[in-house]
Formats: sequence, structure tokens, C-alpha cells
Amino acid sequence: MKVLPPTLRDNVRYVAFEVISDEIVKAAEIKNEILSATTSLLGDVGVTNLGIELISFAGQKGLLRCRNNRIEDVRSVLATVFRVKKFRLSVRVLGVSGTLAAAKEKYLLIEKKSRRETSFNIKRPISGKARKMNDSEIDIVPGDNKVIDRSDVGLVGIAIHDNKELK
Amino acid sequence: MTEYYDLCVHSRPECADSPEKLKLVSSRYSFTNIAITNHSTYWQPLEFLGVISGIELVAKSSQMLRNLIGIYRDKVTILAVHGGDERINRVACSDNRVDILLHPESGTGNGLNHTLATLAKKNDVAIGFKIDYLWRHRGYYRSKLLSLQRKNFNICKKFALKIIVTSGAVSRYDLKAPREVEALSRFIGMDVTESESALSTIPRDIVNKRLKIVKSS
Repeated sequence: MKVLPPTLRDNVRYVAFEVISDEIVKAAEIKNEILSATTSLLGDVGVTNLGIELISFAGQKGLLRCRNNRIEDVRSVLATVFRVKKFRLSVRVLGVSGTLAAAKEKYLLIEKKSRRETSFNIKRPISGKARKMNDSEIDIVPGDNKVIDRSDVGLVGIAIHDNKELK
Repeated sequence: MTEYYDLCVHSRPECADSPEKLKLVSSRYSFTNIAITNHSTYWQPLEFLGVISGIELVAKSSQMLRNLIGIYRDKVTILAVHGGDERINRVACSDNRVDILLHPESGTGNGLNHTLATLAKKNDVAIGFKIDYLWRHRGYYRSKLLSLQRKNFNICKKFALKIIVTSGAVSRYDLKAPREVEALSRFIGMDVTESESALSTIPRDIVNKRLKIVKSS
């Protein structure tokens, strides 16, 4: 079939986003979660109005296509994505662009410093075992489970500056 | 550039993340500053001074709330009250030492009426809209709270009360960027200027007012 002329096509925007979570998220999982969050928040008709579609997802960064006048709805949907499987996550919008090439160049090519796996005991400011860290932050499995139950997260986050021994 | 503030964030020892980590994450989301308002049952003085100190008072009776306000007013910058119960909402609105009444709708009904609104206006108490239920819950509970918040927002608008919108974060994942919070505030009925001032100018004025009072005394 012939491709529609530009005047008859939908005006679209590309939303670049980043997933922040304890564990690595797969593309299929985040796709399902975004669709379920959209249906829950805006309903089936809302999904149609948004024209939302996941184009790519790799290295915890992704690209969504949507109608150009529905950006605010997409932002609110992404803010309500809460959990995949059993672990918490949050989605941060990196930016919005009018073309695929510009979105990739502006937002997806910038490499993020990844956290490395680690394993050592830590006593201050909270006792536990350090699991992941980068230059400024450490994620800890705490000895006391009550705090992670109250916050509904898997790991406790501290900044390196909290701990005088690691500075 | 607009300065954004989140005036209700919970940290260690109540919740998992340290104040410094939350400040780091919030500055990534372009927040100027956050206030750590742990519930009074877990409250401890802050060691990290880069954030605004605060408290969220939890009280079972009016008398208990008055006592707690007296104890904590001089120790913190932001004094918020954990709303919900009708008597608690009333005491919070009638005391000018209180800065924010948080989620008055969390009890039975919407928790706010014309009498309380007049009192809140007189005593310069802001009403806090906590929107964490929008991502924590789905279905009936979420729509119920949303409709109550819409009712409260209309009352606040009618009486020209101060409104703040907050994430009520209990972890780093609950902190949301200002643009996202503004997008979610539309569901409560706020337009762009209202939600922006609820995140920027109004919280800034509340903080400045308290810092001024401390300086002058």
C-alpha cells in the first residue's frame, strides 16, 4: 500500500525516557507496564487518543511515540509507572523531540555512569551489606528490614558523603 | 529559572533513603531544595544541613496536637500536620504556628469545609495536596481520593487559600520531576500557573516566612 502523504499523517512527538530501578528491566516488561498504567489512568479510549507506542528500549533508556498534543498525558502516565515484577522503579522523562533522529542524538546517546556490583560490609550511617555503588551513591541491603518495608523498596540508598570512612 | 520545592519528603530513620541521597536525586530532577518532614513518631534532628528541616505531626487528639506544636515549633522550619481526622484538621487550621495541613481528605469525607477554609485563611495555613496515591494505587481508591481532592481544590480556590503540591515521597523512586507533578496536578483541576506556583512560589514563601521569623527573634 502507498504511504500516506505528510499532510494526512498524524503529528507525532518522540518522548525519550530513562528507567531508574534496583534491577535491570526488560523491554517487554516496561512495554506491558506502560500500557497497563495508561489503561488504568486514562481508559481504553485514552490509550487510543494518546497513540502511544514504544519504539525502542535498551540500556534502561527508551523512546516512545505519541500524538503531539498529548505530551502532558504521556508525562502523567510515565509518572504512574510503579513496579515491574516485585521491584520498584521510576520513569524519568529525558526530553521530547519532533523527529526520531533528533531524539536519539539529544537524549539517548549520552552515556550514563552505570553502578558497579560490589560486596562489602558497611556500618555507618546504616549497618548492612553494600551491593551497588558509583562515584556518589551506594545501595545497601540493610540488616534491619523495617525501613525497606516502610518505603516499599528493595535497597537502601545513601550518598557517599554520608559515610566519612568512604569519602 | 523557576525554583521548585518539595515540602514533604520522608527519609531515614523513618524510611530507607538518607536525606543526602534524596537531595542528590531531587537536584537531578531540578528541585532547588526539599524539606524532610518525617512523622513525629520517628522524628530525629537532621545531621545533614543541605535540606530544609521539617516535621509532620501525627496526633490522636486535639490536645495532643497542640502540645506537639508547642514542642516542635522552634526545632524545625516547616511544621506540617498529618490531616484526616476532622478535629485534627480544625486545630491545624486554627493555629498560626502550623505551616501546612497535609492531606485533609485522608479521613472520612473531604475533611475541609467553608469554616475550616476561613480559619486557614485567617491563620495563613497552606493546604498540602499529596499525590503519591496516583502511582501507589489503582482503581476505586485512586478515583475516590482524586474526587475528594478536586472538591478540596475548589474550596481552596474559592477562599484563595495557599496550595502546595507534594510527592509525599517515602523513597527515591517516589520523587517525581516538577513537570510530571504538574502533569498529574491537572487531574485535580489545576491549570498550569496554579500547579507551577504550588510547586515554586508558594513553598518558597512559606520557607522564607519561617526563616525570617527565626532571624528576627
